[in-house]
Amino acid sequence: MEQDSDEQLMLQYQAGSADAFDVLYQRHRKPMYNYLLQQCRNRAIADELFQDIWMKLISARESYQVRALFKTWLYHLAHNRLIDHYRHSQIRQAEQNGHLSPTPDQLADNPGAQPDCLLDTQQQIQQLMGLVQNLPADQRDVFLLHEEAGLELKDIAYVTSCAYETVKSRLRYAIKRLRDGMDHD
Amino acid sequence: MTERRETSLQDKNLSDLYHQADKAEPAAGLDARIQAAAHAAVEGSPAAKQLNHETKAGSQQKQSWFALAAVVALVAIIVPIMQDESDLILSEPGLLLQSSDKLPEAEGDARSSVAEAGMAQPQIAPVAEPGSASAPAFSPSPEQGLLKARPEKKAYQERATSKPDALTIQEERLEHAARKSKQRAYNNQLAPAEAEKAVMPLSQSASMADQQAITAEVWQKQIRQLLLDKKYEKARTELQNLQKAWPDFQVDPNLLRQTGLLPATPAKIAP
Repeated sequence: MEQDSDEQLMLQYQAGSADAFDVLYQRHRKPMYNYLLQQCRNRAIADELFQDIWMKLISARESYQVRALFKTWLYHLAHNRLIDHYRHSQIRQAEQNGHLSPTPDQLADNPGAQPDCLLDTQQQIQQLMGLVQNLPADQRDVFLLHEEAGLELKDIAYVTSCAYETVKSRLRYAIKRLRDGMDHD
Repeated sequence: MTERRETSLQDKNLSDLYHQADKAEPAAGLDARIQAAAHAAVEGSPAAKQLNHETKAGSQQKQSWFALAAVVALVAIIVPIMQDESDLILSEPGLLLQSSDKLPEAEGDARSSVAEAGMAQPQIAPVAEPGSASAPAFSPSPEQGLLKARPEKKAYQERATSKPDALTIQEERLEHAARKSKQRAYNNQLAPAEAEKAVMPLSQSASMADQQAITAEVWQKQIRQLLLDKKYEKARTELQNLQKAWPDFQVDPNLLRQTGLLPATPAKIAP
């Protein structure tokens, strides 16, 4: 069962195997949780979203069909749940209104963003994570789906319901922004 | 151009650095809740329901086997009891005469023979014993086919068609009363000795109850027996009582002569 693909495991779970779900859950729990945590930046909210997404998967198991990668389907659920969360909390709108780039205060709070500092790897990581969190929401979404979930561009396009070129463009801008941030420091 | 695109979409250093970061994990309680929900959903799924249904079907099949075995056992117990009951009832002529529609001729013959004997209509209804539920409850009908193959019925039919006299009927009734009292004693689970004790008074009471139905013919037979036992005085008394009780009954003249109630026929005087 450990060697089975995600799709096979999901079909087994659909057929009534709870063990298949356990394997599937262990594979995806950590990337999924970090994807949500990086997106919403709040552990309590991430917990809530994380639980909702898996519950949605459980309830939708009977209608599951292997049309795409299981991972794509899972992150599609997660993306939709995040959009619902943004709509309710209007965080996304606030970000789009002006906080697309880190504010000076944020940079001051971020130790990785401090200039003239000899950064070791840990500091570089913290700096990168700070830069990721300060990416525009669309770019951050695509970057996290690419790096955290490991999705290909076409899958990200499916998950985000965007055109392939749009996704590619967003990812390109995200990487450029991160690289610039790291190089700047 | 292609190389530029790849570098713009993939930065290995950034990716490595990102994956080196400490990743958060969901709380253990959250994991437990989700997995419990997943397991519960599977247990209530149609597949699980199918499994449960099959299990239930298996248990229902077992239950049906038990029910079938119980029915067979009940039938095995009840049928012999019913056969015994029917034997008891079939041996009673009164019930058959009352219930069997196929024996009108036999019944008519029996009654006519009694009438011919100058007796009142014998009361052929069974001795009703309070608490005896078996006799009144059973009313065999020809449609049931139960009586057709019964040897008791054949025997009774033979007896009925051979115009049984009232004495035979009365004897049968007495026998039946005794048998019934035995059966009642057995049903009451009396000890065998007690049952024997119980038989005697019951039979006596039955004969007493049937006293009214004793026919003049039987009485006359008893008187004949008294004469054979050389109890002439008692025979004469009984004969007088018989004549009082059955004034229309034509007593055998020989009896009258033997008891001295009728003077001997005068010898013919030769002219």
